[in-house]
Amino acid sequence: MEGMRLSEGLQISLTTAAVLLPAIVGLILLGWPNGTWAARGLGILASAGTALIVLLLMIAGADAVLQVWEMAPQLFIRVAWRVNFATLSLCVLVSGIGALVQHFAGAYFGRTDKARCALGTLLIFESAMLGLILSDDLFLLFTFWELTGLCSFFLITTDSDKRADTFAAAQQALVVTVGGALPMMVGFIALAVMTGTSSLTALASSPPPLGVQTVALALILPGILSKSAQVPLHFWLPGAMAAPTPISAYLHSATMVKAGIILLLYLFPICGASWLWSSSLIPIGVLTCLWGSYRALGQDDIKLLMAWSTVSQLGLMVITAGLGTDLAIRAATLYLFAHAIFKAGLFLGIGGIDHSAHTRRLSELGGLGRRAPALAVVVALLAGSMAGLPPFAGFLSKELVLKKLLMAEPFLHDLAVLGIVLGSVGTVAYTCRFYFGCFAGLPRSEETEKALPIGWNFLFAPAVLGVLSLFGGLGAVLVDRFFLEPTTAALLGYSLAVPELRLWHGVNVPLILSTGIVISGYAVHRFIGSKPLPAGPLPSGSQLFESFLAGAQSIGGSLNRGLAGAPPAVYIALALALAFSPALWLIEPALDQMLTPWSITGLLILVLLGIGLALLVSLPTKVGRILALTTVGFSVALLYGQLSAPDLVLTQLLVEVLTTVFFLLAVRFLVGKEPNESKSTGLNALRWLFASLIGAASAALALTVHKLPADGRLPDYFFSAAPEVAHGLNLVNVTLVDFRALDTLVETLVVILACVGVLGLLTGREWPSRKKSEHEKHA
Amino acid sequence: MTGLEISPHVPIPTLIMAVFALTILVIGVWFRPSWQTRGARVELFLSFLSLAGVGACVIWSITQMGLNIQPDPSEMFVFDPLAAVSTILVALAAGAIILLSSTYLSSYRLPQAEYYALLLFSLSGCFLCFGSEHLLLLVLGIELATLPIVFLVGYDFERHSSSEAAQKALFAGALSSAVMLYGAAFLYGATGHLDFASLKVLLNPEQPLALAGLAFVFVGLAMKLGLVPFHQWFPDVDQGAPTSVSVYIVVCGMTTMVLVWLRLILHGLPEMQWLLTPVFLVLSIVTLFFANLMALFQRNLKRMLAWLAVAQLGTFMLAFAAHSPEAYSALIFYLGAQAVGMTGAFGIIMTTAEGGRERDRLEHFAGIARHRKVLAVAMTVFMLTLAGIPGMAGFWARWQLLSAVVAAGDLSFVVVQTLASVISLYICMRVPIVMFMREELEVSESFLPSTTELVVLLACVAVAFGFGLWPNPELPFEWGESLMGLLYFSVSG
Repeated sequence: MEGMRLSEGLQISLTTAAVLLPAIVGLILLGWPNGTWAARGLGILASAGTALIVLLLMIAGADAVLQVWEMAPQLFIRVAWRVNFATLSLCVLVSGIGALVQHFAGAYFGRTDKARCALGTLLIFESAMLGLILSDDLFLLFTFWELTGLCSFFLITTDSDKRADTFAAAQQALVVTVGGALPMMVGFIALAVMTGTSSLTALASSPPPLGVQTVALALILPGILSKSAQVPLHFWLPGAMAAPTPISAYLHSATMVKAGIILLLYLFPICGASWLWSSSLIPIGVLTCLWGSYRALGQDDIKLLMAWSTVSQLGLMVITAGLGTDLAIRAATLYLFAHAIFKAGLFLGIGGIDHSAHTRRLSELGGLGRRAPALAVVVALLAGSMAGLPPFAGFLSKELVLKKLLMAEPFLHDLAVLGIVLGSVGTVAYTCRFYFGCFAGLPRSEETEKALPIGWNFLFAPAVLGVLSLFGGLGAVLVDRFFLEPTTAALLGYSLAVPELRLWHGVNVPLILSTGIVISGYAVHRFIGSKPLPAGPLPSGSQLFESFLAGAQSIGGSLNRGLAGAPPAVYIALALALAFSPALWLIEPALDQMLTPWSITGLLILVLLGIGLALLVSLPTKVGRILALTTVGFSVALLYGQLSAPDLVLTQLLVEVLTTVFFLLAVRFLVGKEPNESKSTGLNALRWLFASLIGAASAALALTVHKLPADGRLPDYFFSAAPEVAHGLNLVNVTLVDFRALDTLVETLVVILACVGVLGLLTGREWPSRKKSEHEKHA
Repeated sequence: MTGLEISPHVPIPTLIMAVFALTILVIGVWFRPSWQTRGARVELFLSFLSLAGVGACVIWSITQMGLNIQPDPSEMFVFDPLAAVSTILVALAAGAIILLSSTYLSSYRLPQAEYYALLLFSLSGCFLCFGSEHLLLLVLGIELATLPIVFLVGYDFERHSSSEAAQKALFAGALSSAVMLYGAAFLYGATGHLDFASLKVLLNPEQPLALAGLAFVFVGLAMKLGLVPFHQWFPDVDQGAPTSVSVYIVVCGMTTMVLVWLRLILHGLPEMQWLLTPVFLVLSIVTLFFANLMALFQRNLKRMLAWLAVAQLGTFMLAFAAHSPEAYSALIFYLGAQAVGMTGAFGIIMTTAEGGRERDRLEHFAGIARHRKVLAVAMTVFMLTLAGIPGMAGFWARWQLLSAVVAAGDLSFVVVQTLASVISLYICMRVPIVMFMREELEVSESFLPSTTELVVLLACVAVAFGFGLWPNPELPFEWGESLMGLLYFSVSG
């Protein structure tokens, strides 16, 4: 082993090749319409090739962080692979099961175009999964994480031509898993920004402070829980069973749903010290475990039964990881591997049952043991492992879980024990229900009576997995020495000195518990019989999800109706209120200035102005209001007069007269109907309040500005410059024709141009209407 | 640069645009094609001419980039690196829109000279804003940029919705300008100056008058921008306008206003951040949720995209709240990513118009993937980049922006932002789902894009993917260390 040191460059190339190989082959398949015949072979080759490369790295004892590309160091974006025993063995798992699933899928789909697309996408997914496992960088991990979600979306819709529900299922899975990962992204950012590194290895070797751990974990958890189908975000997984069986076997039992658990294992050295770790993971895991077992007992469709069992067992893994001790991490790792193997095999076995009996309903199946004995044996190997019977790998892992559970004494310990024991009883019960329902007794439908044994094409992949389950249990010592020990050491960063894994430890508490679990599980199965359990009064998660979306839609809809259709006045009022609000502070100081003596004439004019305003508001007709407005204008003119500015008075009067005339002319063209006045007193009061406040604020603004010291820079300049430079004394005239002569010239030009434009509009020919010209064309 | 030294205080891009616009106008008057023969050649020439003008601005900006010009307090305009980056960004987007317009407009059979001239006039206003160091010049630039848009929105004046949208744009624009000028007057009253350098020193937020002035300026700007709750006109105008104008408003208009805001804050109000951060945070949250919820409800694609653009504004506001060089650099990158996605998405709607009839409802896109694979895949790419899916430019943009905000300590707001973006993810995924998985309504020839359109769309796809797979969020940094230096300088005072 030591003789085969690979140089770092070679390691980088090999790892990158291992990650990219399936995706490249997948893309070739997707873009090669005539490649249907080669799909299966290429798929198997790609997965097996990847597995071989990874094995080569494993044998060479690769253990390093391989920096491929520093994209943007200060933003913590880089491509780096983390190659060690744990990640590599996960890769072997993923690519090995991948090759088997490709083999099975080739038989399942036949040589169809759909198979080519599905296998191609499956390969791309495989690459994403490998990338996720091998990433050393948080952000690279996130990218692959989302990529797996996207691939899952497309894979679920594979059968969209046959089943109508694939859409909703795919969309649900996408929004829950990809959306759930968004908070996770923030958690990653928080980790990276607060610690200054995004490298998993660096983070694990120097964990962040506890506060940061808790914040980051709280943000990352939604991503983990949604991906690994934990209550209450579990509902997408049973829905995803709309996918063809090989895809469910690969994505929704063996690999993708494990991504959350894998991330938990990676995160344990980083965030495991936080109080949140156990106190969130254990209750959620227990809930998931129990609810999953219960619902699995209630299913008639064996594929759904398996989906719910996956939910339950993912819950079990979360509880184990949630115990938060290094021994528990070890147990969770073993369970993860054992589960991936037997569950993938069981799903493929279900594909075989479906192919043989043409039904997946327990109410129609039965008696298959006699008709397809080979299948029965293979499934028995896998189901035995799931139920945790000796001597299968499932027994070993469950034993280890129980042992660690009894050894450890963490927070929420009793809850975890309860969850695991009850969950295990449920597991035994639904395994019995599944296995005996399918293979024992007599056929319950005509279809099943005609069931035929299935060929090796279908049987090969589950058989390999079943044998693996068996030998995993029988070779416990070897498994411990050559697999579990180095994997745990790589995950934790130190090796555990614990007793070796064995099938037989003598009679001890875990064994007694195990026996009790198996017996009571079987008793539960006998007691319930074959009748399905009700789903309960609670709405299902997918109903909740749909109603959440419907709720958002209806909120959006009512906002749309209520606000988008609101009169512009509401928006203008809002804008004015926000803009004027700081000016409200000016009212108080402005009030003090109001105490200065008032002139009688000014007051009289103000009264006149007030009467005009009151008329403007109260008069019912348009003409009346226009005249009232004119009154206001005239009062302003009077005010100018009082301030001895006769030229302003003239201008103001001219403008007032002209606007009144134009207004009155315009009113002729308006529709005669007056707008309906609102009768609501509350609304009117609100309007009054609003108007008074805005009025007060603008008056205060005006007063404040008025009190500011006059800015003398411009007047001083013009007063001194006008006689000397322009030889004139009237500042207005001098400015217009001398200082700003060019402006005046251009302005005059603009006015002339505008006049020409108006003339053109009045006398020019009409542009032919498009509708008219089309009409002519048709004619 | 032999012998010919042009002062950085002359708004060259604005002048280039104005000259080209006037030239186009004159050509349009002289060679007005008769209605029947439709002078396709003249129109093609006009579109090339506009493109040449925009290209000249880009080249000019690139030559100015490395010069590291600093603002001069006595000058109203300066073409500094920030202005150059802004100009390049908007000019490139405008170039793409001009290219997309030429096919689209021919389906309308309306004279095109006005269209291009107005577009260039509006651009000249945008470019004036980018370098202005004086509030009045800023207002002038904004007016110059937005007034032509009103006419562009009403360009298809025979369509009822187009002229209605133009009216709304006119009133909203007038009101917001009035509010902004009112505020500028108070700022002048409070300080006696309107140039950014003086405002930066003299503006005292303890003074209620200054506060009132600021409030008015901000409300005016927010109305121009379409931030919730000042957004009401935006979706209406965007839906009613011809699609080539909608995309101009969403991409160039919004980008311009965000960059203007950036400039005002960096150069004029850096000392006011303690006051502005809470305002930006509140605006951001309100905008994010309201706009996303509204977008969820839309069945008209143009309106939906408009709401999505408004929702993105909420994210942009987070950058202003964070107020760090990283956040602003991320903001510029984000604007670019957003421009690519929006230009592409609207561009695809434009390829579907036929004889002046818009096909802009979600139903029109049902099942087009079966016969128009390239278009469907391109649209999916644009939607994914708008949703910020990894592997797309939009993802790295959001990534960078959010990390800058986290670094500034506003973690909870980032969480809220991501919650809102779950909704936008759902909205964005609806389009590909409809395209790929629903039954086709009608097989329409109108979904065949012309070569120009195809080139532009593929270029957008390439950019979205290129920056997604090869992210270079430091592009603004690399364009000139001077820009980074400038940002640092302005923020640290």
